[in-house]
Amino acid sequence: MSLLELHGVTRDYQLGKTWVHALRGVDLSIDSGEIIAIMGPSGSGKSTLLHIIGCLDMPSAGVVEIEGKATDGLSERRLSILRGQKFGFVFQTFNLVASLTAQGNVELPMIFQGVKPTRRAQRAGELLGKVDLGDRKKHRPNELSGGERQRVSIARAMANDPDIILADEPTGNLDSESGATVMELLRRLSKDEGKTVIVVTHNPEVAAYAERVITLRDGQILKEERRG
Amino acid sequence: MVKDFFFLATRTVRQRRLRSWLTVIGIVIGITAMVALLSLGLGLERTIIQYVEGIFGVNTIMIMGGDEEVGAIPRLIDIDPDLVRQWEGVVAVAPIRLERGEVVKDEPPVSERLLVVGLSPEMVTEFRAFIGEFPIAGGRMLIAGDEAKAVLGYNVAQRLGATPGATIEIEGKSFEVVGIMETDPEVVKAAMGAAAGQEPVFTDESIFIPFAMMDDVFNDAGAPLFLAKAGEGERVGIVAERIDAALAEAGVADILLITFEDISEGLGDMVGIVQAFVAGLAAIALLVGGVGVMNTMYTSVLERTREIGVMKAVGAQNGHILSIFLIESSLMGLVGGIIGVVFGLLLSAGTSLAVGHFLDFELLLVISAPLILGTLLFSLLAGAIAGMLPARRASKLRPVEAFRYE
Ligand SMILES: Nc1ncnc2c1ncn2[C@@H]1O[C@H](COP(=O)(O)OP(=O)(O)OP(=O)(O)O)[C@@H](O)[C@H]1O
Ligand SMILES: [Mg+2]
Repeated sequence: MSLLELHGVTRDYQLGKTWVHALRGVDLSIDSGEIIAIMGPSGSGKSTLLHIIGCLDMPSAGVVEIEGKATDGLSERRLSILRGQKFGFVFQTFNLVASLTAQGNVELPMIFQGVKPTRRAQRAGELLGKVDLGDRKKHRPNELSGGERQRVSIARAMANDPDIILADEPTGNLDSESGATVMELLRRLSKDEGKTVIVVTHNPEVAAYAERVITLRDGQILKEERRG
Repeated sequence: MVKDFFFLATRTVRQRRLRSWLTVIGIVIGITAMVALLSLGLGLERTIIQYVEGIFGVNTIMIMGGDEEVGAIPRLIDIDPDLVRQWEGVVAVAPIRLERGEVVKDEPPVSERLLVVGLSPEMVTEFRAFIGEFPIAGGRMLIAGDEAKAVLGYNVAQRLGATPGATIEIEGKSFEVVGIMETDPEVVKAAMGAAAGQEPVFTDESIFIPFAMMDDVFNDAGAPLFLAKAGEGERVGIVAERIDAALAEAGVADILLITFEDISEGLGDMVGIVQAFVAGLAAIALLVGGVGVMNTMYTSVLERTREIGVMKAVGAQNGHILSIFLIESSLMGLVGGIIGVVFGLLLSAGTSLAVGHFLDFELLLVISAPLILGTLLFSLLAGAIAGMLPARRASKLRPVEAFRYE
């Protein structure tokens, strides 16, 4: 049994009288510990696919199974818990909460799981240490560089020790050096901790970190290549 | 977890400090008005009751002949005061009766129709508030055991040319003048007024004789007004009921019994109506404040759409988001409430000081704990209710839509 399976997933958006078919039948199977890159031109449905995998969005048709369990029919509450525990998100624009410190941002996912404050603070400290920001705990996002912010958001994604890290163009707003640092971190999460990492990217250098590259076009999988 | 939600909620309030304060001011105005007006209302009620209590006495029972119609001349109640005095719980009884009668003095010869007041000496000793001070210019006041004695009002004494020791005739009966009252041109004695109905009565124009003599001088027996005093520790209402029953048993019907409780209740109702009206106005002010909170909360939700999306993406449940926003709006309500209560109390204190200073009337300051606590709870609820819809909207936001929002 794979960790994640998608069967015939479509996603349609209605814009006025016209329909946008962001995904047109995607079948995909992802195993534990893989690093996967999703590539494809702008508008091909990469973000949509990532959102559906991460239960931020639901397919119009088709099934998403996580550890063999279909997600359709789950209550909003169950979906929230799933998002909080199984997935960690990293976004192109970081999406850190501006009013919270680095530490506060890393603690946020743990708050919603009811983790005790001392335990939370300790874990946030550890995670920030791992992304090399041990000395920036009290800094707010606007006091950090882009690369540093993205490292905070990787720490945040790891807060509840999820199985799957979903990153939507995590290096899109970074210079190549910071991007490389971020990708190195993600690679280590996969190699050392067995996390499944799914990265959406336009950048072939980023895709080079992946063991499998899936290319989308017009909402469909154009090709899949395995590497390494 | 609730503590964390508190932190997350207050964060925005602190961030958008000016906006938060402006919003809170809306609540403050409503609550200030409410607390000030209600406090003043309570103070006014307490003041009036204390005033009435001072005049009426908490243990006094007014027994009047006739129905509820105010102003009509009460009918005579033909019952012996000594009998009433023996009824359980009654410690003092004082009847009063007013009649017009022909008053004649031989030397110099004068004859005049005058107001003759049959006064029980107990009225003066036990019910001072109803008859007021009885300042005697010469001679003495009527005392228990007096029979054919009279005290003359100042003007009457002047016109009759009478001094203590003189003899006058009232409706053909001979009376010895024992005292002359000091002039008292303005004051209408409360008991005399009540016994006379609408008619204005003036002490200066009256002759006072012992109540017991009225039967001899005038036709009919009894008095339109009896004042009875309930004993120490008796429930006035119960004594009044007993009197009512005893009167009915004695064959006296159509009696109006008034106690201090009835009067203060009536006044309380009146103040209550005024207060309800005023509180209605305050509620409108508060409603406006509430709409302000709602508006701010909607803005806040809109501003933080992305943040809500992030929180949902990292595992926040709808209930969590709802709580955070509800806490935020409730806090604005509560803070507004606290400030409003302080301002409201200050305002009512200031008003009662000003009233005392300018109007020569001591308006009591009432600081009511139930009012304060009730108001705080109310303002908290008002904030929560105002935040309900915006918080619901926030909690129902779909994470993906939240991310796409710019
Ligand atoms: N909420 C929405 N309403 C309408 N159309 C949408 C919505 N979300 C996505 N789409 C459409 O779906 C298609 C796929 O969008 P998606 O964001 O998945 O593309 P993408 O591959 O991530 O592109 P990019 O590389 O530019 O990020 C696009 O045509 C987009 O306009
Ligand atoms: Mg995208």
